[in-house]
Amino acid sequence: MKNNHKRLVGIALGIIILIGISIFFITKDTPTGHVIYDTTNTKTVQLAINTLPNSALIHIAQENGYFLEQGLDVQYKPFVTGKLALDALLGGGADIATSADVPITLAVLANQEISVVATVEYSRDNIRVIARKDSGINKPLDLEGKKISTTKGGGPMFYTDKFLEKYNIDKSKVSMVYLTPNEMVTALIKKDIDAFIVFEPAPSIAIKEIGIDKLTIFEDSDIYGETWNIVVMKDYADKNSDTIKKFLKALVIAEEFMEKNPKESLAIVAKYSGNDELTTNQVLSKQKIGVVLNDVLTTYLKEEALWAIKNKLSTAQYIPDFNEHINKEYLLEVKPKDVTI
Amino acid sequence: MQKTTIFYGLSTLFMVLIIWQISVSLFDVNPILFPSPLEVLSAFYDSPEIYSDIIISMIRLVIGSIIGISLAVFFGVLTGHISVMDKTLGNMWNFLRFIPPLALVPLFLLWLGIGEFSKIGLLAWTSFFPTWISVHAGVKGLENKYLLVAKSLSVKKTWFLKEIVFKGSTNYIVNGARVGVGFAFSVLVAAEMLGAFAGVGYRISFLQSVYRIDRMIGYIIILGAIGLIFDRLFMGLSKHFTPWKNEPKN
Repeated sequence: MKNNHKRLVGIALGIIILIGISIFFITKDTPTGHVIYDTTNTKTVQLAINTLPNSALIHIAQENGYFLEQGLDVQYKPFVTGKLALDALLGGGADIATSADVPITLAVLANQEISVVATVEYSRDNIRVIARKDSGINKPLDLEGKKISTTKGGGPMFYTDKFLEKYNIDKSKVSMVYLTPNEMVTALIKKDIDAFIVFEPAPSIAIKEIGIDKLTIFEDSDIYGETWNIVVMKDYADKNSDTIKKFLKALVIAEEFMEKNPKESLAIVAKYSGNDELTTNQVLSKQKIGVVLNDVLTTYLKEEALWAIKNKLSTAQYIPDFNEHINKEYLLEVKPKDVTI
Repeated sequence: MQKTTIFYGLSTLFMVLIIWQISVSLFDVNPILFPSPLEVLSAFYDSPEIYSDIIISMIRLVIGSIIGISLAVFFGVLTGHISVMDKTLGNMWNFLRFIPPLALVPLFLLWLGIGEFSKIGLLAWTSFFPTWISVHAGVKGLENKYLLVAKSLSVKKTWFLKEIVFKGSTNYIVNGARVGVGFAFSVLVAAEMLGAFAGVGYRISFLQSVYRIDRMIGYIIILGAIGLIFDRLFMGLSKHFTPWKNEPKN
């Protein structure tokens, strides 16, 4: 009986110690690389973010404490694609999200009450076709009969359709496989697929891993670029206009820092995006980083809406007025010279 | 009795459809995110690939389940009958069965690639454990008197395994397989995210990404209906192979 009692006490103590250790680690401040600031008297903002280099200004603002200076405690909720980040916003799991334009188009066509408040990155060369030479792919038409991967519901899917159309590749003769960017790189290395079409940095990583001499790369900046945007729900914007202005203000300060401190900025973006500086630099060199609202966005949104309706990716019958889903009010107060929409 | 069951089943289905339609009509819901039954039905006509998707998914499910269940029966008899196997292999299976199949999706992708092996492998893995534990319990729980009689009559080992062990645990095999296939159904969507380009699970995932919720719900209903058919098939198999057992009423 005494032995049983001792054993029970020992087990109970062990459980208490384990719980204590767990509580310590759970409440321990900050993820790796994040600077610790005093977050009292701040407003918490849940940010659904794809931590790609596209989100450079956000990473710089976070690292340098610009959000906190504005009284915002921005908490990252990372996702592997902008589409998933947008889904988190739509599902009420985030206050603000980063997203490319195609997921925004599809969400608007699905009558989602979202609002784009700024574009933070734009690129015409961000999406590339990476194909294996040993699959017999040397020109675009060689993609017929091959297995190609892209992401579903995002810019690469739109680019893929436009690419196939432009180069007269019969879509019915292409096997389309939808994977995440990381899975695509692995699948290409293992020769499970013959090519993939996706945004950076996956193409650069594939080139590094497989070798440029073994790959055929197609780049066509005339087809489509991609915009990277800050998106909120309309009702959140109505109740939190001050928060959004402060968020954008922090990004504008980050933009100024980036212009004056390219090396430090590169290091920050590499750290947050999880890539080495060389790869990050290759990606950033193809991108225009800045807080803007211009007609590039509306042009893409309309083209994508037409594509989605034509391919029955939406039940919508007509192209909506996207101006109802772009709110320039906040950026006009923070950086009016770059609101040209 | 069967007519009554069908009547109650159809009545319930009809009631659910009516409530669904009324809810969508009465409340101010987004029709794209919350389509009505009629919209879901009309979306079926918009889905010519539905038949090929069903066939491809069923082939994957059947092959994966056959592999999983066959291995489960073999190992279940082994671990249930041989004490050393129970203590070694049995403990290992007991450890592995707590790993959620969904946690293994990235591993299956890395190890087996995006072809059919990874999908069928994941389905086989999922159907294996519920079947194994049922067979193992069935074999282990065989009444001792049968074992003693077999021993005293010095029957051949193969006859003993076939006529006593296997037949004695048939009910456990069928019921375990029924649960195993049910689990495999629940993992089908995840399995078909491993680089599929057709299939019910794949289509559900794709349609969600483009907010075609009407077609997505249609596919989900199809998945449920096929699952029900499979379940009824197993019930029939159970009655056929074990006529001496009373099937519990649902």
